[in-house]
Amino acid sequence: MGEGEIEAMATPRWLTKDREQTEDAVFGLLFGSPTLFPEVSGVSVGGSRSFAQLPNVLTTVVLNTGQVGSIEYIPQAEISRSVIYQRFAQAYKCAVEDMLFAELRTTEMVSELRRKVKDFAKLLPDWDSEGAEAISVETVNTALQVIEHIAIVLERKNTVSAPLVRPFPDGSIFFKWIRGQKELAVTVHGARVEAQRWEPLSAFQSQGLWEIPVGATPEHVDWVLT
Amino acid sequence: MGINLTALGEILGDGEEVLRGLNPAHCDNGLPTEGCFILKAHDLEGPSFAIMIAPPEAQDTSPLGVRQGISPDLFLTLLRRPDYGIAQLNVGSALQHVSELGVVFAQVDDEEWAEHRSAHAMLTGYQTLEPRTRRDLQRFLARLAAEKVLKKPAEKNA
Repeated sequence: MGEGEIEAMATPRWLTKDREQTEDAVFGLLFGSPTLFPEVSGVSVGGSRSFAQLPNVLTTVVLNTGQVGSIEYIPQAEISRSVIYQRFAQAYKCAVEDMLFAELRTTEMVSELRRKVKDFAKLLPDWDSEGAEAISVETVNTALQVIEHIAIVLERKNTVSAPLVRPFPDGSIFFKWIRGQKELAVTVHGARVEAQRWEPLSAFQSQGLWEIPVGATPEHVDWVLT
Repeated sequence: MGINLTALGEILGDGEEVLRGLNPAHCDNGLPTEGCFILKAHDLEGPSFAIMIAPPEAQDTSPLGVRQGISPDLFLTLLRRPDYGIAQLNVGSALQHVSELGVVFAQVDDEEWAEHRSAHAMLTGYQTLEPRTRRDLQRFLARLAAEKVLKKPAEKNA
């Protein structure tokens, strides 16, 4: 794979487009790879821009799961049998995206959350011109701890999903997370953390309002992400 | 606000429409968040609204709106700043889950609105709700308001 290919894979737009691309099943050959990553192993006809540029030659790649991002080429000689297949490119590229970029985007997203929350500490009393309270250092510190727990869940689930975070006029910090038909609100005020959940989104009544220790945040984040 | 709480007036009926000013600091992408409707157990004054003007033929359903309501344009001039937005809420819809718990919109004069003082209304009665229900109501009001934003607030990152 050339450098151009790597750059292309690093472009989410390109990946998204490819992921949405419908490709017909075609006749091809399956390689005798030791199923290092069976869900993405497959074949591709040479000339495809996704793989080695060997016109009219059947080539393939598999992901080496032991070393994220490393590519192992399986030579043509290891072709084992004919199969009906769908182009390898789609699944392969999605897998690369998930493995290489999800972690990076999670890190960026968490950094952005931290930055926003730290900025809330700069808000002066009456920051909304309607008498809003300043956001206390204690509230900011507790919210930063909440973010650390959110980051742990995101990394464990290899998921990129960011909550909305806002200061409230009563001096609290409010995290809101909507995913599918689930909504999670986490309110931080001083050392106090409260979680409230709704499902479905159209429901008026929440499932409950719980005062929780910061360490219990992952349980609720897990709920909204599952 | 120059509100005289001892002079709580008429309770608004389900057919009345009210207007809520949207502070840009509490909106996201031009839509109200729960921050626009913070409700506390110890609130002496609830969130302020304007009674929206109603045509004469709505006398049966919106008598206050007919008698002393104001238009959204006029309401805009009464808000703190011109960058505020405006959302419209139907009283019956807004209170459908809590009216039996004593939550109401009550007309109460606001002297700062001068000749339009009688167009002012306030949400009240929520102070005695359980915290969970009060938060449910906050969220519900924000969602309902987001459905009918008459004027978007200016973009502002708090």
